[in-house]
Amino acid sequence: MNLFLNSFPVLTTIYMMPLLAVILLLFIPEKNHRAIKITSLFFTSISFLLSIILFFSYDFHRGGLQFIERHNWIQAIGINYFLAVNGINVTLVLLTGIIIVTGVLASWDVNVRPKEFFMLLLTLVTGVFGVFMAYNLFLFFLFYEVAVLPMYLLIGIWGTGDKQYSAMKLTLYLLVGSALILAGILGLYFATGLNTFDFDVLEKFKFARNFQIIFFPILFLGFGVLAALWPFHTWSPDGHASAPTAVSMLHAGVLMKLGAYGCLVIAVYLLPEGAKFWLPFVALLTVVNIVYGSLGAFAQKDLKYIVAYSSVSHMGIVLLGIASQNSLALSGAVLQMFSHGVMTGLFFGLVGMVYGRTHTRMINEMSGLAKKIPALAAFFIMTGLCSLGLPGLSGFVAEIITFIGAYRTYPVITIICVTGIVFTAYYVLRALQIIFYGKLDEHYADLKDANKIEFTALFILMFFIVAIGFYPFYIMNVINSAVGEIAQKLLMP
Amino acid sequence: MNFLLLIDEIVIAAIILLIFLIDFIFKNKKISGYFYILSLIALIIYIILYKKSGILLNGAFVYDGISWFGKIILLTGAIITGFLSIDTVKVSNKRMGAYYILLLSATLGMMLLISSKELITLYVGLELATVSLYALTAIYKKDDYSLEAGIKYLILGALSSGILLYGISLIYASTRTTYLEKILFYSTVPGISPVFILGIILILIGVCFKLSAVPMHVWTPDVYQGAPTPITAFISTVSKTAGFIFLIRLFSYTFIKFDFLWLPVFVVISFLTMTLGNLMAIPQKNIKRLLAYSTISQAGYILVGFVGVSVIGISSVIFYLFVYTFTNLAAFAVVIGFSNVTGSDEIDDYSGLAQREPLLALTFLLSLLSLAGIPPLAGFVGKFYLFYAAMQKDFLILVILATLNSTLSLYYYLLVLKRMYIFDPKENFAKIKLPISLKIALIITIAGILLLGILPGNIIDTTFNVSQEIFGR
Repeated sequence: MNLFLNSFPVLTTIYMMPLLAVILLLFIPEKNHRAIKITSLFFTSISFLLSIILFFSYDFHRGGLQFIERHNWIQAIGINYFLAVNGINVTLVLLTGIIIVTGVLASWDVNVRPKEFFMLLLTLVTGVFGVFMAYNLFLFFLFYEVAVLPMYLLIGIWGTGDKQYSAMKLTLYLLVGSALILAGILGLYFATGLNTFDFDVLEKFKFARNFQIIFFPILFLGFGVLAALWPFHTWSPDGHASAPTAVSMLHAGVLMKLGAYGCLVIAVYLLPEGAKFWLPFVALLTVVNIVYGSLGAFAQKDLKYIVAYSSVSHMGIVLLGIASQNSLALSGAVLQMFSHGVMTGLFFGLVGMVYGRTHTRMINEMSGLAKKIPALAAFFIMTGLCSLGLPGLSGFVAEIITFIGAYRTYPVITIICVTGIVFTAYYVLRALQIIFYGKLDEHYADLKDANKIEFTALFILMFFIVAIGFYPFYIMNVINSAVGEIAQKLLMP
Repeated sequence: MNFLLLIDEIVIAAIILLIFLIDFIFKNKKISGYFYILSLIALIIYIILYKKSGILLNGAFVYDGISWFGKIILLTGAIITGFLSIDTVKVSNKRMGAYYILLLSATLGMMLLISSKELITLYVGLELATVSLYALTAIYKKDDYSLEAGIKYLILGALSSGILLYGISLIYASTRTTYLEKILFYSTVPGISPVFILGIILILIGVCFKLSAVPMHVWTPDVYQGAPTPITAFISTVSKTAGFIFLIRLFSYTFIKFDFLWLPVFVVISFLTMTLGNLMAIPQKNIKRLLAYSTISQAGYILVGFVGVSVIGISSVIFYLFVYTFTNLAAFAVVIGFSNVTGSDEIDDYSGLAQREPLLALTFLLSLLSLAGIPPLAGFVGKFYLFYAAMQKDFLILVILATLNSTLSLYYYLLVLKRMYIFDPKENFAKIKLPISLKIALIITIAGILLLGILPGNIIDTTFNVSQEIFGR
């Protein structure tokens, strides 16, 4: 298998496939909806399959960067085209592959300007794939911005509710974050004086302590905005709630992970001294994230807002894991990124499907739906159970590892956060009970259950949740191979 | 004396004379336009292929890397402006020849401006360019706005030229020379007279006016709104290139020993220029005024790179000017194409443009995002390089403010994009038909924006090499 993957630039292929689809879409007539959707599905499926193969071909015994592609690009200022993956990257590339395929499937009913919709969606995904592979900070930043901007039009055109406000808010928040990141990246570059943006060189350089203490918050906050770190999270519930289904899936599923990934791999890994200085403060913020997110979800009546707030809460767990600085918590955080990505994709997909049928997202206006749409209800309940951390599903594994790790560093904070989980259990169970059980409302007497396309999307997502819940060892090995290095760097005096 | 170094300028002068003749012979006035474009294309190819170097007239005129690359940028801008003008400028037949002649004389003035290393020659080049631009601004004789813009530009421009000239005379008074090289030498001698410092300050004020840097920017929106749009495009793009190279010749080279004096001033001006430009752009309802303020803020970003003085700083400014030429002209091409059919410059009327004419909307999307510095477009690499140059001199705060300003600017660019892509067209709209010349302009500029964004390596290397030449052999 490795021979097969090494025979061509597999990473470039993975991120180029959606871009290729975008170019092909340009030439497909606007009216031919079917062709547009099939083209999108075909190319994203290739990326998806390749990302699965990539994941299982990654040699975690050896660890480190693999599948390296490196070419000169703008030599004068040390910019290379440098793609590679380590254990964290392959996991997140796989996540992106899963979410985009299911996202395309979940968008099968987009009939308003579908050509532009899929072109923007696939451009976005190109950026996301790229970020998770780029090992040159310039390239990283480039992909990062590509991943952020299409969101504006996707939400603005195809969204619901107060979409223009949400779209603008989201874009500006994220770009303020990226402004800080850009300044941070330039700072790192000039601090080394090595004339390179290559990550592997920067990683070996030992930055001065004062420099680290100044630049760590710049970078961490820049990425933290995207990871919905409190108090910079307010774009997230509005944005997610207004976005069309596939965009919510991608955004909550993958883009927020991109922020956490940046926090971990760029801010913490490159600036460990700064991290040690600042992370205890970050841990305090994550408490607010987790508890506030849960309480926020608790207070909402709109199904999509409930999921959006629960995302804020779950991202808090990821950030708590990162803030805890030990290898166990870090592995938990990365696994939580993956687990929450799949789960929230499933959640938003389901909300979109239910909304498509009932035309309301207010939980009070729905009841007894399980009688009419049993398959959707079953998926919904499984996801809900995953989100409250039922053993046997991926959420449990990720959360328990993170909390055990976090307890070693911040016992009090962790205990407070675990209570957040209790709230989660309550609001999830309450919402599910209202929507799916009780008396069937007459309005909804002729609802149809999930069709084949929807079922496929849901099944793919659910498969990964259950698989990781039952057998987390393989993915943990892959993740640990990369997390070990980061934890070691944090341990060094 | 090798007068072959002056061949580019001589050719332009010859083209001017030929257009006189063509204008006299042919009834169809578009022929002058085609001749203008074709001859400039031939000239730019010649310049690109045969790079020269040397000095003339005791060093008053110089052909070095910067003037070579500067000429390429200027002529690129002039050619695209030609494409923008042919089918859209509605001047009576009598004056159409004059239009191209004035464009050429403005270009000639700028070419002299960027190739001289002597204050009087610089001033002559500057005046040749600006006087032509005053006339061009007011070329719509029957349009009040155009006349008003012309007069405003003339009066304020003359004022700033006066200040500049006064500064030059003070420099001469204290150094007894107008040659930049000798002034540079003089400034290394201990015991500087305060008159010299005053001269620098006055020149700084005069230059800031030409660059429409805050607080000398107030003329910009009115002039830009009133002038014929292709001329607005020309002033806001091509003349900026000349202005910044002028700035580099004076400050990064001649007054480099006094950077403790002017560098902090430019840091503050840079911050004010981009911030005020962006803030004032937000409430604008007229697309030309919006672009005028956006031009002001762009000057602020370029100054961020400029304060990184050294070779990298100069190189980043020149690279950005090249990028900016394509990007900004693309934006104006859209404005021209739109108002050519609808007769409107109001942003509200851009609603649903994506459905009325996708090519226009796409060009606007690319150019505005490139102005905001979004990858993988040219503006991103350009801004990255500018900020890189400033960072290398440890201007961390300025860079953070500049990146935040980019975000701010995205806000009003997105408002325009929202109109085009998210809103539906107003009722009973017509499809927009674009003249072929404009389509060519759109395609050239799109190609520039994409190519400079994705494969900037060679051009950055070139700008770096030419920037090294400024400090001479």
